[in-house]
Amino acid sequence: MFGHVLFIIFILILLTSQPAYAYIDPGTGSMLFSVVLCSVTTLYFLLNSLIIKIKTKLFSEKSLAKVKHKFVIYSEGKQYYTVFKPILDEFEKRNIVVSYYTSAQDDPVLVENYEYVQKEYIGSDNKAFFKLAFLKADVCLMTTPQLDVLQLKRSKEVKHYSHIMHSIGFSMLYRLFSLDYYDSVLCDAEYQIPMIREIEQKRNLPAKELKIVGSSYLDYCMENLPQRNSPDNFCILIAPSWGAHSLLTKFGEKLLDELVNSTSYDIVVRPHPQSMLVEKDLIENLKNKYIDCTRLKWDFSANNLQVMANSDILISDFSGIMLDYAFLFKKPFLYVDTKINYEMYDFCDLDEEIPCKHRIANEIGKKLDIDNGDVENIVEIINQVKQDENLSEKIEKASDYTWFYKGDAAKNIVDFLVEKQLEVSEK
Amino acid sequence: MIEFFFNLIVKPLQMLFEFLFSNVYNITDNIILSIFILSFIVSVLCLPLYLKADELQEEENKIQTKLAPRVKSIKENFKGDEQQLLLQTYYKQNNYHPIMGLRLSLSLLLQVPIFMAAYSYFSSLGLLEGLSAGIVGNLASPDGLLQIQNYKINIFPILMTIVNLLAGFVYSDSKSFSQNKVLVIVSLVFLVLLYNSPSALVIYWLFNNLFSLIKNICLLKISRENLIRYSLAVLFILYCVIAENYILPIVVVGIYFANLFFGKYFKSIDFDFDYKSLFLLGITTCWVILGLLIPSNVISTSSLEFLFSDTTPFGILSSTATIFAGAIIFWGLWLFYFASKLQQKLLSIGVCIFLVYALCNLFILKIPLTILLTTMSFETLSMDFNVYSIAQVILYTSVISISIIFILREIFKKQSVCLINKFILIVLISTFVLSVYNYSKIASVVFSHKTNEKALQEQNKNYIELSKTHKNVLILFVDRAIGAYIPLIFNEHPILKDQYKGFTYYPNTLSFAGYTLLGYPAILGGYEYTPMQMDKSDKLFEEEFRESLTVLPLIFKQNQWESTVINPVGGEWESVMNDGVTKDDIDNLGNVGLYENSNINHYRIPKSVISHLVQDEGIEVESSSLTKRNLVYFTILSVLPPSARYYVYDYGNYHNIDNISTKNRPIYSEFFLKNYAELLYLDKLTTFTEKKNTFTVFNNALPHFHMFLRYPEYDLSSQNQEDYEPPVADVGWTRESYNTNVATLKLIGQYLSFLKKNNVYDNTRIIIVADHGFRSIELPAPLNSKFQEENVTPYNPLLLVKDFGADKEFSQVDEFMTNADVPMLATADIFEHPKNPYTNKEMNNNSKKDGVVIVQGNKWLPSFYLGKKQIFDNDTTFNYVKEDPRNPKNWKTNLNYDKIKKYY
Repeated sequence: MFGHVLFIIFILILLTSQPAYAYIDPGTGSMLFSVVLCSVTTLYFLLNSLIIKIKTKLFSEKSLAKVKHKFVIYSEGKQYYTVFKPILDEFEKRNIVVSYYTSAQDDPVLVENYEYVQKEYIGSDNKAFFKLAFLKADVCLMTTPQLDVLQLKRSKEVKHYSHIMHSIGFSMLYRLFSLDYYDSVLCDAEYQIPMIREIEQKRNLPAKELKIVGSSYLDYCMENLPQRNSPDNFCILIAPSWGAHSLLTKFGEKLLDELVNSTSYDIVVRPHPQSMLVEKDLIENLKNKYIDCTRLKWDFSANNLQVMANSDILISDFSGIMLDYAFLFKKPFLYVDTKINYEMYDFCDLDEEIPCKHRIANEIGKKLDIDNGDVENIVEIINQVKQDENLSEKIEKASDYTWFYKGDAAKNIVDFLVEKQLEVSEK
Repeated sequence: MIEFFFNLIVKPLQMLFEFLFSNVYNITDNIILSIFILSFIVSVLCLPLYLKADELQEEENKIQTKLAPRVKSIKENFKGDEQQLLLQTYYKQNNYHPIMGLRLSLSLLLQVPIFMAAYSYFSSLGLLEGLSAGIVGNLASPDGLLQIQNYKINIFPILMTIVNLLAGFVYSDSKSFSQNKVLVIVSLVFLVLLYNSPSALVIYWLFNNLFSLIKNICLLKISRENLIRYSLAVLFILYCVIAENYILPIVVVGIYFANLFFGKYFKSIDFDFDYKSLFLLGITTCWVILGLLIPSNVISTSSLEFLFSDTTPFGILSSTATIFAGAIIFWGLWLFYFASKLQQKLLSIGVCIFLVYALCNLFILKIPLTILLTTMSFETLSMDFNVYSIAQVILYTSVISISIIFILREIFKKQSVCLINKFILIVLISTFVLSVYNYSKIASVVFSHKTNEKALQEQNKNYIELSKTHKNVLILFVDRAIGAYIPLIFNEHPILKDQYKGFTYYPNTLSFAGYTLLGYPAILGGYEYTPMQMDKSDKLFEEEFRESLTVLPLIFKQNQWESTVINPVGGEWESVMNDGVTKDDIDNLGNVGLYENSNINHYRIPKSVISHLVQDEGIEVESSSLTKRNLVYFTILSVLPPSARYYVYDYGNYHNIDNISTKNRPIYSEFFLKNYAELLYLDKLTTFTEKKNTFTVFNNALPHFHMFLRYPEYDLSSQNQEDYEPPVADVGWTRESYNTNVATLKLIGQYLSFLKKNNVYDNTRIIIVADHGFRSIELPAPLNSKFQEENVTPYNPLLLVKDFGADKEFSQVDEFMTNADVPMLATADIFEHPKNPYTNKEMNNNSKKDGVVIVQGNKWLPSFYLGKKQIFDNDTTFNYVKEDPRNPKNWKTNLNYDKIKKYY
């Protein structure tokens, strides 16, 4: 009120001030000034109310209607089928519409018969990132780490981004800043929460919503566990990771030589899918070398469950497969501890010295000390492990520690998403 | 582009330097001491900036050390885009941006514009030329003190470098060698840059380095805050002593004690508001007012006067706008950036209050009305700014105090600046719209003028066509030529008596007003178009004004004479009036098509006549630099209160030490040169081919200028005579005005000789007439009475008349005349009873016997009269004269409108 009175006084003053009449006088504009001032004031208030009107109209009718999605699930590749399949089924079961975007043209989901799942292939890499950057949705669920850090940016029109784990035993061994810009993380088990909180604190990030839901992909695997369909001969599965430090690159020949020459076990080598892309020569060479050995087979099938079911022991080098193997089939594994450069991972910001996953692996599996002749002694070691009586107990313990709510993950996840959607849409 | 950045960043500093230096120099009158003090002031003022820069540098170093390991790790472990993106995220999470690394070189960066300002100021300072100080022979050139055989070595640059290095080493005491390396390189760069510079500049920089050394030594002992405090205190005491200001210390001591007692309370007041938006909005508005509105207001009142040889009005506007953008926005933001949070809040409140203050000074306590020259000096040099009514003062104080209360109340009580922001935004938009309006007005005038000029140049016309065989009547109108000067001029230049043979001089001639708009109509229209008659008549002012311009030309035209008006008032008003009348005003007066309709020849002489002058006489045309400079000062002056205006105005000099004497200006404006050239080349503009009687009106404004010319010939020259003693006193612009009056009469005198030589003198009737006199002319006895000065001379136009065949000596007739007598003089013995073609009334000068009414004051803009039938009201005062004006008893002065009605 006071302000308005002052304003009126101000205008009156300017209106009453006399016109000037110098040859050149800065005051000649004063009459004009007051006229302009009045009109600008009026226009200002008119415009203001107009803008508010337009805004309310636009947002109430058109732009809100444009928000097409309540739920969006984005799958980076078909390897995440097992992660999302149970979740999609749960949505379908509840008759809730969900949009499923995938960057894999051959994603099995695309051919499934869903009524409530709207499936769409959105291209890969930049094409997908571009589309996702302008996504309009209430809740978006993804496995892709480093949201808003690398090329995949957050969309301003998505109200909530939720991350879901795609392997068991997650212990911050994602590359730097992996979860920092998610709104919520769906955890497998309790132990993950302090790690995520520690990172948040150290980087001064706002606290994310952390929800323990279990593991949807392990649930899926459990449900679809295949029966052994091979002879009962003891079978060793070698499933390494890929790259310069991987088991196959570093000690593949040595290990295979030893196994072929000193044992009568069946051997199945299942190279990492990436190996077939970047180190094809290595695989071909190995394949040729042992072409005569009928006990050694190569497995390139899409689903690794059958080959796991058909084996009795796993040798790996920390690809995510080990814990799956133990938890699903209750069978032992051996692993080679390739040196990991922690500086590349979020883990390096934690006070912990050994990632939880390694600790667990160490508890159930047996670490091979390559440099100290463990390859030469591989047969002996396998025999030792075979005879471990406490194995199932150890596996049970580890599984209870890292995997909560067995069998309920999809339900928990959809519960959470639905609740979240309701919450953000009300805001 | 370079000029833009120079104006933006360096120019404001340079002008500050100039202002400080000229003030110090005026007080000390010692150049070295002034340089010393300037250097001290600049050093002290920069101290907070430098120290803040140091602080930031430390902060930056700290952050970088903190971030370094992870940055290194990311760079080692990742490549390409991923590395970049991860680094970005890492920086973001740590509230850091790589661009902030620039802060490391901040203190160095800050020195650059300051150095450039000093450099450009001292290397262009004409004052230094030939000035010696102590062992230095010429401050404007390198010192060359040490002579080894044939080589002269400059000592000061070397000395300066030594001090610079010393200062650097003290500063970087504990720092790494790589930084010392930078210091050495920088010092050497300065050595190379300054080695051959004027020694004054080097001495300035030497002092600067000395203070920098002292600063760095002090910093080893005391804290930054204390150093700033102590040095500001020294500066403050220095100022108070020099300026003999003893009130300020008391105020400061008072504030100190108040702070001691109430400081705690003050600090406990929590006032948190969006000071950043307030500050930004505030300075933007300040810039629009100072940088756009005021300069465009000034220029739009008479755009064409600001057409210089080197730039258009827009060049001047853009330079002013950029300088203020630099001073207010660029440096304002720096200041804001360097200020603490509390200081930032105070700054934003300060900007608001300044805005109110500036607007009130600008619009309520306006600058009084007088003529302003393009150099931004007022026509009356000793300007009286303290002209305002009690009502204005009450309004002023109440608006300011209410606004301040309002601002503080909003901030302290509501802690919100929403409403203040709204007010400022409205002012911002309004002032911006007004500025745009002014700009467009200027643009339309300038562009239409340019097209006109071009068209005129292509015309290539013989302007004055006289007849050798028939009769010619020639009216030479010279704006503001003063009748009373004639005896002085003819005394100084006896040759004129011969040239003006046959002429009669009427010293007792009066005009009806002191300005062209009301003084001109009667010249061609007679007594029916005196101001009082126009007031009385039922017609609109513009209608009558329009008529008056063509009464006499039409009378001749209707009698089959060839009738011509050169530099007509309609259409190209500015060439005659010099009164800041714009093209819009002319259009409003309705003169378009005036001459076409009545079939009267009308030509305007194009500005290209100047080019002859420039070629023939090697004349230098005035550049816009002084106008650009002074317009900045004038703008500041406009938003200051009257008492401060005197100081800034500095008798029209605006603290320009290179221009202590404005009389030292041998460079002329284009506008002046055009008018000079028109009279100089009158012969070239004239042909004698006409086979009919001719009537010609030639309008010129040379005597309207104030300009020193070359003595004793009063022509153009690049030199000025120091020992010049004209026969008029030095009051206001009287001497300059006298100069142009002499030039006018001499140039016309030459033209008269030319007419004689071509045998068209005897068959030509010539009337030389002006529209009004000039104020404040101090004349020698017997005309030196106060009465004459105040009441007669301002209304004493020149009137010289030569009839057909007149060959008597130049003579004087003391008869009481007015310039409304011109129609009767022009038509005498040619037409028996000339009638006004518009009113059909017979023209005569009978009403003169009943006395004449003269309008006082200076309402010279058409806007005062347009659309009015009765053009005066009680605001106007009048003089009334009956019979011999030499006798004060015949005058009744300062009559108001009601009283004057009795006399007509």
